[in-house]
Amino acid sequence: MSAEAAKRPVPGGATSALTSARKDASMEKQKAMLAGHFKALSTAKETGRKVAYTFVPGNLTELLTAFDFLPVYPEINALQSGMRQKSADYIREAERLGHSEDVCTYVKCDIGMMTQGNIGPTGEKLPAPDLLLLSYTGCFTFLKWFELLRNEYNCEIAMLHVPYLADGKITPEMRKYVADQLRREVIPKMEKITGKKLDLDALAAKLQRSAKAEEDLVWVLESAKNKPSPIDAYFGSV
Amino acid sequence: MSPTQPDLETILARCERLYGDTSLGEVVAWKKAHPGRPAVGHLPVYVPREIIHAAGAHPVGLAGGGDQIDIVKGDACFQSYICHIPRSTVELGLLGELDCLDGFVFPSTCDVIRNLSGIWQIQFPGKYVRFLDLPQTFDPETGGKFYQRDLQEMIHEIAKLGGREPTAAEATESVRLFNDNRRALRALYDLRAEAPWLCTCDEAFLVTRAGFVMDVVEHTGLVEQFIVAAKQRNKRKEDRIRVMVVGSFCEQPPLGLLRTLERSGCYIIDDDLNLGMRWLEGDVEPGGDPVAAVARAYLTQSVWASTRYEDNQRRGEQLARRAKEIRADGVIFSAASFCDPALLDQPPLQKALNNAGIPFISFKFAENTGQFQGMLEQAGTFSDSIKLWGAA
Repeated sequence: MSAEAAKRPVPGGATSALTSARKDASMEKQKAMLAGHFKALSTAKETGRKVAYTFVPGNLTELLTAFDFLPVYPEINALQSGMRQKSADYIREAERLGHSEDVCTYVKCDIGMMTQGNIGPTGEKLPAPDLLLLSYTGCFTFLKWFELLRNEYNCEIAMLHVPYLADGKITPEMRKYVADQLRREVIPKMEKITGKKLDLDALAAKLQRSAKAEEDLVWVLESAKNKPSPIDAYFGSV
Repeated sequence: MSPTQPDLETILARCERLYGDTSLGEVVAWKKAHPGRPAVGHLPVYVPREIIHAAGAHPVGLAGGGDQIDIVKGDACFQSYICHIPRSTVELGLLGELDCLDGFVFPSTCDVIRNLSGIWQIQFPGKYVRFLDLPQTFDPETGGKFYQRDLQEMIHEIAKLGGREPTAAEATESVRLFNDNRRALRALYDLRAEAPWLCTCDEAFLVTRAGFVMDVVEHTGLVEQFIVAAKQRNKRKEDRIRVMVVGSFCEQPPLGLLRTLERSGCYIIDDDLNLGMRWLEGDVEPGGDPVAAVARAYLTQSVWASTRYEDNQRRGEQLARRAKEIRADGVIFSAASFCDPALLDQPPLQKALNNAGIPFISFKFAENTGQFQGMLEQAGTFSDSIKLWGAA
């Protein structure tokens, strides 16, 4: 490439290979937060922090962190493995162990990753769970996934069945069903594992911060209505 | 044989005719005989049929079109990598074959059956559609109460279709009738486990399946008549291995596959075909509140099944225990392609069988699979190897 060509901007706004990428403060913060989270996970057994595996849709992160659990999301592990081009090996290993070609590759990637040392995206080993929080929020495969993981880890499992909104409406009975499960099944198991009692004020404060974070995220996503848009689809999805 | 006891050929001919009648002539006849009363279809696996019956409606089991229809429009509603039953069910609907049904109940068997409920609402607006969210929490105070409330709501909705709000006595009677039916089906399966040469798997399948469309009292009578006739059969026991077929609880294999497996040197002495008809173990005791009793029975009397959240290590142990109880020589895992519940369960179930020293094979099918040669060879080799080197 000539010196003249190297100075010209690459179409689409991306930087050329000869200049370093400019990250803004939010990107640096995101990187630091993720690195810190995976560092905390890698030292969880030494520090005595409890670890909960759970699912992203309908996740109860505020409740988990109110008990000081460190959450692990197996779907994120599978996504990260995909981005790092390790999925094929993990999936192949799970199929070698008897899992069908027809079933969800997130499950197989996670099973394969687990059998090969459970090394996370930062190259550090992910800790085994103290709790499998089976938030069954709409994907039946989640249910079978955690049945399989319970066999492997032999740890406590808590089921939270969130009813499907077949008519698009939340009924008082659905709300009661979810609240009753939280009170009778999920929270007692968390208290048993951590030795802590639920602090409702701390939970309320976390929920308020989550609500604010969601509003801010929606504001950012809606910025895409502008022309030109300050964000792209990659940002929006990942 | 008594003059009122039909012979086997007559019973089986009727059952096969009912199986092949995709336009549900038996249901049309029922509606003609019961003007104003609704017929409500339900998908696999489990729906409490006695509740539909108690609400004054005729419960009609649906199991797709099998190998009897070609899919033209049904495929347009779905991606390629799911099972076949929703496609053929939509096809039947779009062809008008299900027009005699006033409503449809879709249980929470899996994501496919659940989403089919949504597609049905779009494709057939105006038809009653009910998604039945079977609880995956089995605490009577949470899952039990949620489920009971759901069943009561379903009764109200079916009453509005032309059914009724049943009294406790009427609901109790419905529970009793379906207890009788399940008892008859258990007797049929006991016969197969004891003397499988008297009743082939496809015969038991057809007899059970007839209950999808028949009046429950009439069906119970038919099952009992079949058992009487089968026991009077003059057939010898043959040198075949005894196997269980596991994984075919929702989308059903074609009859040809069942016949092929038995021709390959196996007696299928137990299976999970048409599982919804035999979902509850033992009788439901109606007590003072039969709807609550049916809800409670789901929590405590359900058979082990891949569609129900459970410790799958226990599920595997139950399978191994059942295999030993009925002296099965082996297990054939026969799951519909892309069936998540069945296929994700297979590795732990197979591990349990390995631990118990019970051999197994596995393959996949679709409801319209037309070529069985590979399965014949696989099952035949399985049978031969057990006879040569196993305990059979």
